Amino acid sequence: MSERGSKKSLLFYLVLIVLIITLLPSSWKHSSRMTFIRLFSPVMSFVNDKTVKVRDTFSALFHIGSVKKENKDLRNQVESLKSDLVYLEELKLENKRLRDLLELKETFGEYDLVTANVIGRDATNWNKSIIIDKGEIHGVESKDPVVSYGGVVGIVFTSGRKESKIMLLNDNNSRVGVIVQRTRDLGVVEGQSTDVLILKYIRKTADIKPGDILITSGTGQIYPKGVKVGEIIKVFEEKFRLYKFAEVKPDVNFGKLEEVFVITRRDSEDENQQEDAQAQIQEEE
Amino acid sequence: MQLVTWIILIALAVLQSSFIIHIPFFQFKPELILIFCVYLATRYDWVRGFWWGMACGAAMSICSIGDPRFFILVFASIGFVSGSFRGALFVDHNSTKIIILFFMSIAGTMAFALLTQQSGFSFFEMAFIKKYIIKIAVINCLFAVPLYSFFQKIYNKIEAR
Repeated sequence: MSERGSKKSLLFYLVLIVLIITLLPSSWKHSSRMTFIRLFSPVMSFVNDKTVKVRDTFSALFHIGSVKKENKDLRNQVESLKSDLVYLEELKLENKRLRDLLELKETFGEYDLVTANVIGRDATNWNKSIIIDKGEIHGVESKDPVVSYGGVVGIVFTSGRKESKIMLLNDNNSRVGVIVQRTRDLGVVEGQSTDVLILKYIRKTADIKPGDILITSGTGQIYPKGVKVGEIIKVFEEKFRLYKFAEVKPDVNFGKLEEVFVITRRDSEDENQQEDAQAQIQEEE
Repeated sequence: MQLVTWIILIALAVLQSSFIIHIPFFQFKPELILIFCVYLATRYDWVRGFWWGMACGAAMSICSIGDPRFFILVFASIGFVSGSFRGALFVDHNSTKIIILFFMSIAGTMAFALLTQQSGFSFFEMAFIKKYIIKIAVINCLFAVPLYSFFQKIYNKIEAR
């Protein structure tokens, strides 16, 4: 009897608990749920992570074939994109070179420019020269000036049939007449077989300073006037010397020359103009 | 012996003007022909050193725009002077040859700078010498270490025959 009574009372309590839970206000239920989630969220998160990892591993094991294929496809895609990138970079550089070339052609509008590739370099430490793939059949002759995007490169030392040797501006036999762009002082730039050139014969009173730009003077009748040679980096003034000296950084990186331009001759139109001018002078005389 | 020397000289000239120009060390190139010139002179005597020096100068001038006369003159002098050490102690050792090469390299560079400077000699104008003369000599000596062992093997074999 007592056993039946206890069972009944247990059932009664259970129903009572269920009723209480059911009849609890919804806000309380929500907060208690959140408390529960908050308490167990680290555990849930841990379990979830591990489960996902295990599931992924099994999934990868089951789909290893397709994963391998996908990996291979992606690798191919990456390689293809890489080569595209290199090609685009090359195109970009070519575009820049062509723009520079156009600018250069405009600068030397009155002259004929022969584009040449550098195919060799001087093998000794004492001389600085390059070999280009253009020669007499392309109109290249000895003593023709050679320029690049940056400025003066040198002169044609000897020209063969299809190739020529160029004496670079930094060769120790190289000389070029220059003007200091800011002060208009005349001087001579000489090579020293190093990366730095030397500016000589600048009068002592000249106000030259580092940063001044040097351009060709055109007095030697080899280089056209106004081509950039370099920039003064250091000025020397010695008490017992008649002239000032300066170290000059050339604008052209001689070690990285890939293509150069040989100035071969003036345009025929320009020549005609000169002839006309000479004829006029003769008539006047 | 002469044929082998010519073959080596031509091979070195080809190497100097093709391979070496692409591997500059500290902006400088080892002078293979100069290394060979000093080796020949110190191995034999000043007479052969002089003649082979002339040949080496001619070979070197092919690889450059420099005046061939300067090259022949300087290399003949180097051959002559190096050959004069023939009677010295331990000259058969490669290390002695390399020490001679070091000084000959310095002398050669100075001679070239003097011969090619058109506007007179001053320390200011000789920046090339001031900055790089020792570096060139050291690079030549470094390259001479394997090359001299190689030349020695070849010439010892030829002479043994």
